[in-house]
Parts: sequence; structure tokens; C-alpha cells
Amino acid sequence: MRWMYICFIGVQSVFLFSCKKASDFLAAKPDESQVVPTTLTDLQALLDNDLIINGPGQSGYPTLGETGADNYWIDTTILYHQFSPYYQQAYTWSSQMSSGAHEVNDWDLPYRVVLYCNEALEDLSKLKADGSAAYGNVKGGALFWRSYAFYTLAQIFAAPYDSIRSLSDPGIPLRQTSDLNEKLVRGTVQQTYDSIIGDCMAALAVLPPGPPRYPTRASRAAAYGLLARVWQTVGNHHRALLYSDSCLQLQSALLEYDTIQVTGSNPFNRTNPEILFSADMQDIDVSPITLHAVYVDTLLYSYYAPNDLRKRLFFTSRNGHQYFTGFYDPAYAFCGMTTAEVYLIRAESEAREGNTSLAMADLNTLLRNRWATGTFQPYTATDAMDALRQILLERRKELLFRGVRWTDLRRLNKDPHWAITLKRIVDGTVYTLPPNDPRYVLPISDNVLSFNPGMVQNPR
Amino acid sequence: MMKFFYQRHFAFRIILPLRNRLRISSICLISLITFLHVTAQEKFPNITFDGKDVPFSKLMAAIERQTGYTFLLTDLDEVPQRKITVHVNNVPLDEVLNKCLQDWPLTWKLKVPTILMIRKIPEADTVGKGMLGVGGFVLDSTGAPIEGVVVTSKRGGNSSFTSSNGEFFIRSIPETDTLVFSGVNVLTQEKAVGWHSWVTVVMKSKVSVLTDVTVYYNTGYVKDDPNRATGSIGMVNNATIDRTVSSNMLDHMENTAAGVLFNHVPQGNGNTPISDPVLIRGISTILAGSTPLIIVDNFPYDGSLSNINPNDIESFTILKDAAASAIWGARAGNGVIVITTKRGRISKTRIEINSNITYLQRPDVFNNPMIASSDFIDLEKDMFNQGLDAALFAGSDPYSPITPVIALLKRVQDGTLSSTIANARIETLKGQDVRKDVSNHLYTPALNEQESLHLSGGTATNTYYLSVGFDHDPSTIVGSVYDRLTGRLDNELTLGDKFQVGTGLNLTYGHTVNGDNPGMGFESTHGSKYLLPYARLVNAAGAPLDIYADYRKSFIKNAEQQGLPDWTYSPVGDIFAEKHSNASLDLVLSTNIGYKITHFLELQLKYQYENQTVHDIDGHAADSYYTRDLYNLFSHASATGSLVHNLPAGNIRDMANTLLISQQGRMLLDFKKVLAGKHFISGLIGGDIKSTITTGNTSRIYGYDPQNSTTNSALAYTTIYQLYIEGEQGQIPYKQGFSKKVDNFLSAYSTVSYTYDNRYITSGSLRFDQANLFGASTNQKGVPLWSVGESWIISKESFYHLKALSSLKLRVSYGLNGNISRLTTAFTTADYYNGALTTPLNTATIITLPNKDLRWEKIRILNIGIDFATPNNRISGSLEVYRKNGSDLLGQAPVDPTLGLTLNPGSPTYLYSNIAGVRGKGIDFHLITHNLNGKKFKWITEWFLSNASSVVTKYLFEVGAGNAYLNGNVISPVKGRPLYALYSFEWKGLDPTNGDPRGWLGGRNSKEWANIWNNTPLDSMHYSGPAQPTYFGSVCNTWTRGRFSFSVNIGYKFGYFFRRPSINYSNLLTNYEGNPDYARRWQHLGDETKTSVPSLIYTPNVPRDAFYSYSTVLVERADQIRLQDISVAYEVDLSHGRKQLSYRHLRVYGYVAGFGPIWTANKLGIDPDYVGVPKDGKRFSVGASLSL
Repeated sequence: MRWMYICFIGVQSVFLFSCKKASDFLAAKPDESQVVPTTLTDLQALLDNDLIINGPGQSGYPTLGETGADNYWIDTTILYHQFSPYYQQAYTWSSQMSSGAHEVNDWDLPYRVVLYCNEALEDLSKLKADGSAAYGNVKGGALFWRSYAFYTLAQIFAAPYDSIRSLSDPGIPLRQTSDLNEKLVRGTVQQTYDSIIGDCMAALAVLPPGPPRYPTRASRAAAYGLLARVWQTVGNHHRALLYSDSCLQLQSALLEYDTIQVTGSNPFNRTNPEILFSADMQDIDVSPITLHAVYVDTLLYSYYAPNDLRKRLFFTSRNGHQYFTGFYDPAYAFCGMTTAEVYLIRAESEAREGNTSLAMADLNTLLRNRWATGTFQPYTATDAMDALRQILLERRKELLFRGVRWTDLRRLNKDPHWAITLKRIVDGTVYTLPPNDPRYVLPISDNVLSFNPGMVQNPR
Repeated sequence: MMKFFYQRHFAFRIILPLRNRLRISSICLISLITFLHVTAQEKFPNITFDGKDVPFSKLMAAIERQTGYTFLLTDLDEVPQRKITVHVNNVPLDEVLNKCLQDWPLTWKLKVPTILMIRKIPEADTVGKGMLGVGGFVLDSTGAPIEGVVVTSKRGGNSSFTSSNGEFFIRSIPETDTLVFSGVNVLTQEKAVGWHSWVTVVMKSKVSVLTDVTVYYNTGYVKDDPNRATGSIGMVNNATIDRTVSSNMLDHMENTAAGVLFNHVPQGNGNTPISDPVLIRGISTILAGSTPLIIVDNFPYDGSLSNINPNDIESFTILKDAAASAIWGARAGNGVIVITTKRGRISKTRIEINSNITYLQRPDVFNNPMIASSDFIDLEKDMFNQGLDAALFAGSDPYSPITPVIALLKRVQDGTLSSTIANARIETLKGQDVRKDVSNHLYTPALNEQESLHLSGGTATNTYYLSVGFDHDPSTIVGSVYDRLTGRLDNELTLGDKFQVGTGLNLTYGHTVNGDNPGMGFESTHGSKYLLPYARLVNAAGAPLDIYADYRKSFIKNAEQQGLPDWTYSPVGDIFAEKHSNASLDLVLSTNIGYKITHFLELQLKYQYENQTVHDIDGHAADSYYTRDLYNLFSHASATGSLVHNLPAGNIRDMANTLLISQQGRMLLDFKKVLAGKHFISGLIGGDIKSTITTGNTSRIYGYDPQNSTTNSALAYTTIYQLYIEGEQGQIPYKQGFSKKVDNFLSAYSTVSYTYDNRYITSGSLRFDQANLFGASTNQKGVPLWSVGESWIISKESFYHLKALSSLKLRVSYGLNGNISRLTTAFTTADYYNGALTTPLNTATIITLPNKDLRWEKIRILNIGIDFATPNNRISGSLEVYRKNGSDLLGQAPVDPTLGLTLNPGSPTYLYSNIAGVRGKGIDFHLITHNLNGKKFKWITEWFLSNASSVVTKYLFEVGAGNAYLNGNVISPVKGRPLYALYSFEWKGLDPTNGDPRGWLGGRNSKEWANIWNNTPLDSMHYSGPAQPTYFGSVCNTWTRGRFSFSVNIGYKFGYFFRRPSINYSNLLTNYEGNPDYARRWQHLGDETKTSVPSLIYTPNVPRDAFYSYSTVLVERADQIRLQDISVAYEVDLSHGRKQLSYRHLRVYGYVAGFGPIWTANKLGIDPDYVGVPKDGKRFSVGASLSL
């Protein structure tokens, strides 16, 4: 037995001797393409993952709002039945809407963006804040995209902003870490918008000056633009005016539509000077928005003047119906922000502040680029209210299928002057959605609720 | 004497007290006396012999034949020549021998089965001269005691046999004498007595020609006698391996061991999993992979299994339970297959040449279901007449392909063709079946060749083995061929008593070439469009014809007129325009050093280096359809009308290189010691280090000109180009990448086996593994994996008197093995990619979030086995029952999607965690019966029967919608069900009014197919059963008459299900995927009583078709019995009676495989191994092996 003992000591000592080496040996990275993100380069690469963050293709931002909006209608003889019950229910604003056991990508995918941002922010906190542009890009980018993701979620799953009710209306879970054990609560709508604005302001503070290298990245102009949109959403037009103005100071280029050659089915490409930041709606589900096979609302189409180039560029006619082709992306449903939208925000804010001429100037600046060269006659308004009416109509015509119509319906319905009731007919049954209906807030999936027993469901 | 003894061992500080030695000697004495006593009681068999003046050898031969005993003549060369005259009839052996030897100075002893003849000792020689008593042990090379070895003193003439413990003792021999050790299967050895009173002798196995009687199992760490095993071990010997003819090593293993299931089903409609080609005792993991660990000689093998030439394999050992395989620790959970390669042996140089050819029949493509051409054309005509063709068969755009029949009908409609001509042409098309052309022009019979040459031999100090092998395997799919060249060199050097040095070199070059030939799987490369049932691939003269599967003919003609190069596609003509080659070079260098520290302790150092390079080249020639298509697509008319080409002309070349470098080192101490009396202990303690680094890169080159080796790579990959097809845009496919993977392992282990009196064997093993896999905390814990085993050879007990069952052994083992998955780590990890989708920036994707509790998967195995044999092994076999419980299995734990971990959008969010459990159980039964054992005619049957089933015991993922469980090919774990299970929608017959399929929803008949599809919960689905066999095995009958042998192997698989394909109208109308069930569809009222095929509707209704495709009416039992193969062989002895040359022989053999089932449970004529795919033809092999 002594022999065995000696041998055992011998083998052990060989292993002990090599112990230091052994720890290195066992710490080797199993897959070189896998990193434990630590450096600024790693974190920037997380945020440069356009597939996740910007969503061209496999991921992206909610479509449910646009699904419920009034830009289109579905041929209910065949096409309607090709959609899943969930989208059929979304189309008809069903109060019984349920995803069943299916995942709700409109929820899951923006929260994936949030995870990437949180991961980047946490790892960043372990690095020295060196004030460099690279550092600012990562931190600002992470804050910006988290802000944007929360904003898009709030438009679907939380009630429209109301200065009083938002103090108690449930908001969306504001996940702040990458910790798997983080307790998620809905909080209030006020907290949701506080967080959205807070993140975006913080991003503004650290984002380097100058335009971004790529529209997939955040920039100061993009942050100002987003802030303008958020303030407009919560009905603070004074702030919306300030931020839209700041945005246009940095980036104001508009695309002259007369220069566009119509070659393909989607005339716009991704290198469009109007794009402040690029984002697309999710294309995972077969939804009316992503299928590109639904008919554009006939009345809406009738609003476009013959010389309005959008009539030609935004639509193709087939069998007497119009299909929308005006996405600012060759393949997916663009829902990022453009300078055109910021012009419209500034114009609307000016009108609401009573500055009719400034409002109309912005509108005309935009429309001059939309009409065939030499055909545009500047619009005039009799008063601020008339300006606002024209601006809201042009907003409708400019920003259809951009993910903003649902938000516009939610906010404009609060003013009886603009409030409308939506109507759909499916197989002879008429469905309506009156203004300020609780169905303007979509249900949280049963799946999410099952993981969070304390979470309240949105009433329909 | 004492002094010398101590001095010799002093260096090692071992002091055996005198008291002990005396005790050992006395035990030996007692056992010897007992042994002699038993001998005296022996009843001798009767002998019949009639010979006058014949050599004694004749009598010897007669006795050997009649008794089965063997004569052993030590140093008595003259004896066999002596003349004797004997006439006996049924006289006991002792009388016969005593009478023969009475005049000779000889005596004899019997120790079954050996008759020892020795000289009588002259009394005078033993008087005076310091006589000694010498005792000792005789062991084999594995350290196991050998029973029945004859020990003779050369001068004294005293002799003795070793007991069952390998002990012997001889009294009264001169101190200057030499002991001679000889036995039946061992080389005779001499040892000078000197002053020793105690000697240990290790015997070398005798080189046995033709049949190797010593069968050892090999765990990759130790070779041992199966009799001493406590675990479950399957052994496949060389004769069995040689029975099969194939260049693929695994083919030689099928149906040769119990509990090993081969799932070799070609890719088809995906019924039976092909992810588990080899399973040992079922599956006991979910995500970690179920492939057994493959060991070649000593080390885990990292290269491709196709690199192993079956001609170089001596044997397979299959380690099935914990006691057998726990030595491999964290990687042994799926069982272990140890491949022992051939080695040189002590003999004159031997040459073995093996050569064979195999004829592979053309695969049967008519096994692919296809709608009759006439049915399809009638359908097309009907739809055309109703104006429904545009959306389906023609497409609404100007470039989508249009079928020839629709094209003809359109021309008639346009008035450019007379209807008579059109109808005549259509009638001709009706008579065509595309499978004829596919069969004749895309498939071919093939002739495979295999050659191998071995050279081996050696002396007592040096053995060598050298082999070269060549395989040339053209495939039955035109344009594909596999070639392999293997070389192997092994050398073992024995330096003195202590050192042994071995070196090995193994080189494999493999080369595969494929053309552009998807065969019957045409749709895989043509946008899911199937070949039209009436398509023609060649014209009457056999020249390739174009088919228009991707674009409309008029569109292509227009493009060509506009100046684009040829855009047509001919499946037959394009085969050789593409060349996909895969060349691999695998080099394995190994060396081992053994040093015997003492007679019971050996230090072994082993090292192996492997370098495998694989070069993949997908060459798309400039004139290949692939290149032309891409080139044309990336062209468009500019504003001025001229054509702009955004892709350079020339070949497109995809390259992928992989380099695997694996280094493995081992240091171990091996000990074998016979302790006092009947105690034998053996074991080892050691450590392994292993590092495998795999690096790879892929690239694509456009505009490659092989003549000048020029390329054009200055392309704008991020630019979105206008494509030739109106309204389509695209980026130039970019394929550049690098990868590097590192697999590091450190292991320490020990095994001990203790044998008492050759009756009780206890074994145990313990192993710690560490890998660069987990977070530091898990590694520090070092989970031990272990096993214990116990064997009891009941038949050696004194109380055992069961004559009919002469050998009976009971084994029980229990232990813990591991399994590895690299799916997750204890850190946040992200994958890096070059180039985002819309920017050239590098991107990172989060793959895992930290999982701090990650650990090995654990598999607990309990095995109880009985080994039995009747006298003379007339019937022998084993029966084993086992339980295999996997716990801590890596599974997908569902998590809140709000956490943001969504990896596959649309599917539930999960985290890999050690949360799942699987319980497996089964029975392995193995039986060999010698049905007829005549001198000339023998009939042996080998039976294998296994039952293996495993069910999920724990899984946290919530049961999803039923439709997530429809693919029996994919593991979708459900608690209480097998890992691969077949679920389907309840079938409620056809609607009698219109032939719609009906299902079941919410407690009533339903035709809401989308609703059924989406909202049927799993518990309302019909569960048919497992999708993998639960009972399987084989029966192999071998008949031998003289030198001629004939064997037939029949395999069977029971207890599982498959889904048969049927008509899917959506696929028929959009992809032309037809099925003969179309003809059996519901057409008129009342048909619902005769058929279950739904009626045809012209509007594709995906949910309706999907419901039918996955309904219970299409589920069939897969049970089958197959005639696996037939083998014949004829041995020719070339030794011409010269005994020392008896290994000279010629074996001529034939082999036929691929017969198909002889019985199937389904009565539709569907071969469950080939559902909806071409069926492999028969393989006929003939060959010869020559040993010189």
C-alpha cells in the first residue's frame, strides 16, 4: 500500500507543479469568435449589431400599433384568413385579443434591445470614463436605444399619456440591468416617460458632436429628434418645438423626391439623407404591415395631388388597388426617424404655439421637396388652427406605415376636434374603435404575466 | 540468499517480512497438495486406438482428438518419433499412457486440458547438493494469473502446474537448476533458479495463427480478460469485422453487439432522426449530443471517423455501463467505443493482402412518391380552363416559371398553336415519368474498390505493423466520388526487461468530389420547386435538355436578347460544371514509453499528436448555372439602356479550410499484484491532458480565372444593387470568416480491481475532469465521477453443481458518468461577426448570460448482468438489465422574455440550465448457440435482442401548443414521454359532403384547420409512440462446412412509428410536389368510405393541408425485419501441411447487403428506412485476402 501512496503523491505533485499553468489552460477561450464583452470595441460591436438594435429583418420594433391604425384595409376574402388569429384580432381591435401560447415579438424584441443596452452600460461602468468619442458613442448609444425601445413599447402596451392619469396608469417594466433575477414591475406611465426622457437626455450629454458614421448609430441629432417626438407624444408642444429645432440645427437635409429614379418596387434606399436613425418594424410575424400585400386606405390615397411625387413613389397600383412601397428601407418596414418628421413636429408645435407663418414655412420646406420640380405652390393658412389642420393632414400623408400613426391617433383623440372613430368590415361584420377606447392599449401576453404574477393586465 | 533478495529491492524500499514469505509458501503447499489430490481422483476418458509400429505422435493426435486435451512435451523432441504398437478399445487414458510409457524414462500428468510429459527424475541426482523449494507466480502480460502452466525443473525434472491463482511450488530442485515454464497458449520461458526461493514469471502470449484465442477487451486504459470484468462490455472481434465489406468503419459494427442501435436513415421527409447515427443504450441527454465517445487505441479520436480504415481495425470494444466506461468520466455518458488497431506480433514477417470490389446497384428513385403525370396534366388543364393557372402554375409576374403544359395551352389560347398539335404533345407528356430520366442520368450503378496491404511481424524485442490501404468509392449519384488512401506504421521495441517504447504513425488522405447533382432532391436548390412529374431531362438522343424551374422561358429569352449570357439550366448538363471537392489529410503521431519499475508496477507515458487539415473548395465554373444565374441577377439595364454587370465574369470559388490540432498526453502508473494467496489486485492511477484547437476560415472569390490564377475581389459588398428582375435588389453574397475553437481538458483518475480466488471481483473507479468549459467556480468543485462493480463467478463455488450450466457469472455495477455540452458558460458571452447587415461594422451577438451553477451532466447507470455458458460453450450468452438516469441535464429553462434573452424571435425565450432529467432503462440479451457442432459441419447462431427506452422525467419548459411537437425528428421534451415522440392531430374522417378533412377541436368535429393547428394543446394531440426503435437486434446464422462458410444476418427494429407522406395540395399547386395519393382523393359522395385522402381544392389552404399531413391517419408503425446481409467465404490452406507455415492461407469471400425489409408492419409497401427518398440498391462484393 505504501507503493500506491508514493505513486499517488508523485502524480499529485506533477499536477500541483503545473497548477499555475493549469489555470491558464482551463481559462482558454473555447471559441475565439465568442467574447466575454469587456472592451469598448466589444461594447460598440454589441450596439452595432443592426440586426438586433435596428432590426432589419429578423428583429425590430412593434407592428401592432400600425396594424390597428387606419392606413390600410385587408381583402377579407382570402388574405385576411392567412393571418394568425392574433393579427386578425389586432386588425379588428378584438377585446378578446390573446396571443395564446405564442410569443409576442412586439414585446420580446424591444426588450432584447434593452438587454443589449443594459449589458453595454454595465460593462462600461467597469471601464474608466475617459471622455473619448468612442466612450461617448457607446454610452450615448446604449442610453439612446434603451430610450427608443421603451418608447416604442409604451406606445403599444401602456395607456396614452395623460398628465393626471399617468401618475397611476400602469407603465411598462423598465428593466435596468442584465441581471436575470431583476424584479420587474410595471410602475406608472409617468415613470415610463420619465425614464424615456431621462435616458435620452443622458445620451445627449455624452454623445459626441457631429453626424454619426452610420444611420444605425445614435447621434445628437437623433437624440434631439427622439426627444421632440416623445415630448409631442406627451403633449408638451413647447418642449417638442425646442428639441425639434435643435435637431434641425444639426441635421436638416431633405431628399428631393424629383431626383429619385423608380427602378425597384421600393424606391428608397438606406443611404437617405433624411434618416436621423434607422429602425425597422419586426418582420418575424406575418403581419398586415410586413406582408406588403394590404390595400392602402382609399380615402387617404385620394388626398395626394397628381404632382405630389409621393403618389408615385409611395404607392403601386395593381388590380385597381394601391399597395404601399414608400418604406425608407428597400426590404423592411422603416420606423426610424427622418428630418421630414422633425419638420412636421416643429411645424405642428409652432402652429399650436400660434406661430402660423413659421409653421407653414416648415410645412412648405418639406413639401417643396415632395412635389415635382416647379409645380409646388406654397400652402397658406388663414390662422393657426387652419395651419394645424393642414399640418396634421400632411403628417398623415408623409408618415404612413412609419409606426407613428397609432401614437398620433392616441394623442389626437384626446382633442375632440381631431378625434375619429375607426371602422373595419370583415365578412360583413362591422368593427369600430371609438376615440380613447381602452383597446388603444394592447394586452400583455399571458406568457409574460405567468412569469410575473403581480403584473396587472391592461383592460380591454 | 536473503541478502541478495533485499539488495535487489532495496532501492524501492520494499521489505517483505520473512514471516509473510513463509506463510505464502505454506499456502502454496497446501493448494498444491489439494490440487494433486484432485488429480488422483480424476476419472480419465476412454481411448480407442489401433496402431502397429506407428509413431507415438499418431497416438497423441488420436488422444487429442478424442479427449480435447493437448499434449505438452517439454524438451522431449525425440518422443513423437518413437514407434509404438497399441490396440485399445475404450480403455481409460491413464492405462493407455502408462502402458505406452512403461519402458521409457518418462512420466505424465494431466491437468485438464493439458497432458504434460516429462522425464522421470533419476533418484540419485536429487540427493545432496543443497536442494531448494521454489515457489512463485505465473502471470500473463496483463498481470492476471495463469492457471495450468507447467513448471519443470530442467535438471531435477520435478514438475508442477500452476493453480488457479497462478501459483506453483516445486520441492527439491538443485540450486543451480533452471525452471522451464510452458503452457498451451504461451511462449515457453526459462528462468534460472539461482538463489531465489520465490519467482514471478510473466508469460508472453504465443502467436497463434488464424485464430486468436486470447480475446482481451480494451478500455483505452487497460486491456483485460473479459472474465475479470464487472461492467458491461461488448466485444467485436476481427472475424466479425471482416465479415462486412465497406470502407466505412461504422458499417462493420452494425448488428454485432447488443444495445447498439444504428439509425442510418437518409435525409428525407424527416421522420426518423438522423442526428443519432449510433446510439449505445438509448439517449440519456437532451442537448449535449448522444454520440458515443470514440477511442482509437488509447486516446479520444477527434478526426473524422471516415479517416479510419476498417482493414486496420483489430477489434471494437463497446463500454456500456458505468463500471466499464466511468474511467472516461465526463465524456462517457453516451457509452464508449474503443477501436483497437492491428499490431505486430512476434512472428516471421507476414504479408496480408486484401482486395475487394463492390457493385452498388442504382438507387430506386421510384421509391419517391410522385403524382402520375396524367393526373398532374389533367389538373393543369382543368385549372387553365377555369382561369386559375395564373396565380399557381404561372405566377403573376413575368419571370416566374410556367409549366410546359400551361405554356402549350396559352399558345393555343393565343392562336399561335393548333389545339391538335398541343393535345398531341400533351398526350406525349402524359406518358412520361421524370423519375426515369432521373434514374438514368442523375443516378448510376457504381463499382467501389478496396485494397489493403499489411506487413507485420517481429521478434521478442521488436514488433512492427505496416499497412497501406486504398479505397475508391464512386457514388451512385453521378459526379460524386470518394477516394481514400491510408497508411499506418506501428513499431514496438522492448529494451531489456524494463523498457518498452512504441511509436505509431497514421496518415489518411481522403478526397471527395461532388458535382451539381441534387438527384431526387431537386427542390433543395430550386426554391422548393419539385421536378415536374412529366419533365424530360434528356432528349431522345440522350443530350441534356434545359428545364425552366427558376425563371420563365420567355423571360430568359428576353434577357439573352438584351445581351445577357445564357441563363438556361439543364440538370444533366450542369453536373460537371460545378466541382465541390473536399480534401482532408489526417496525420496522427503517437509514442508511448513503458517502464517496469518492479514486476508489479509500470509507469506509462503516452503522447499523441494529431493534425487534420480539411480543404473544401466549391468551384462554380463560369459556365455553371450557379455562376451564370448570379452574374445575370446582378446585372441590370442602366438609364441609357446598356447593361451594367455588378459581378465580375469568371468562376466563383468558395473555399473553407479547417485545421485541427490535437495533443494528448498521459502519465499513468499501472499496478498488478498478487497478494498473499488468492488475492489479486490491479489498477492504475494517472492523469490526462488534452488540447484540441480547431481553426478555420472561409472565403469566396469572384471572377476567378483558373488559367491565370487571377481574381477580382474589389467588390462593394455593402452596396445594394438593382437586380435584373424588376423591382428586386440585393447585396453581393459575402463569405469571409475565421473561426477558432479550443477544447482543453485536464483529468485525473484511478481504477482498482480486486479479485479473490478468481471468484469474486470488485472494481472501482474515480475520475476528476476539468475543462475550459465552465466558469472557474464549477471547475474548482471538480465533480467526481465514479463507479463500483462486483462480479461473482458462481460456477466456481464449491456448492455449484449445475452441470448443464457449467459457467455462471453475476455482475452488478453502479456509477456516475458525465456528459458535456458547450452550449453555455458561466460568463456573458457574445459571438463576433464581421460586417453587419447594413453596415461594414463588426457586430457582437449575446449568446449567453452568466449561468453560475453550470455543471457536468450526470448519468447514473445501474447494470445487472448474468453471463452463462453450457459445457464446451455449446450455448453461451449474457443477459443484462440496466437503468440509465440522466440528471442535471442541460435543458432549456423557460425565462421571461422581458429579460431580453430572445435568441430565436417567435420562439419561447430560454436559458440553458442543468434542469432536466431523463430516465432510461433496457435489456440487452446476447446468445450464441452452436446448433450443430459436427467435425465437418457447424452451425452457429448469434442472437442479439435489445430493449432501450428513455423518458423525460423532468423538464421545466412549459408544454407549448401541440403544433410545436409535430416533428418527430427533433427533440421536444415532454415529461413522461420519449425524447423523440410522434404526435399528431386527431383524425375524424372526411366530410361526406365535400371531402374536407375533419379534426377535433373543443370536444367536437371541426374543420377550422387553422384553429386546430394553432390552438390544439399537446394533451389533446394523439400520441402514437416513440419515433426511434425501442426493441431491436439481429440474428446471425453461420454455417461452416469444412473451409466453406455461409452466414446470413437478419436485423429487426420494433416499437416505433413514422409519418408517411401524402398529398399536400398547397405544395402540389405551388411547388409541384405530388404524391400518388392524389389518385385516391375524395371525388364523389361516398368516397369517404373508401379513402382518407381529402378532396382537391384549387385555392391553396395551408392549414387544411398541414392538418391532414400531420393527422393520425398518416402515422404508421415502423416495425420491420430486414435481411441485413449475406456473407460467404472459402478458406484455402496454402501451408501444404507444414505446420509452421499454417498461416499461409487464402480467403475468398462474397458479400451482399441492402436487401431491404422482409417484413414491415405497415402494409403499404413503405420501407421505413427510406420514406419518400430514393432507396439504396443492393451491394454485391467479392474479394480475397491472402496471407503469406
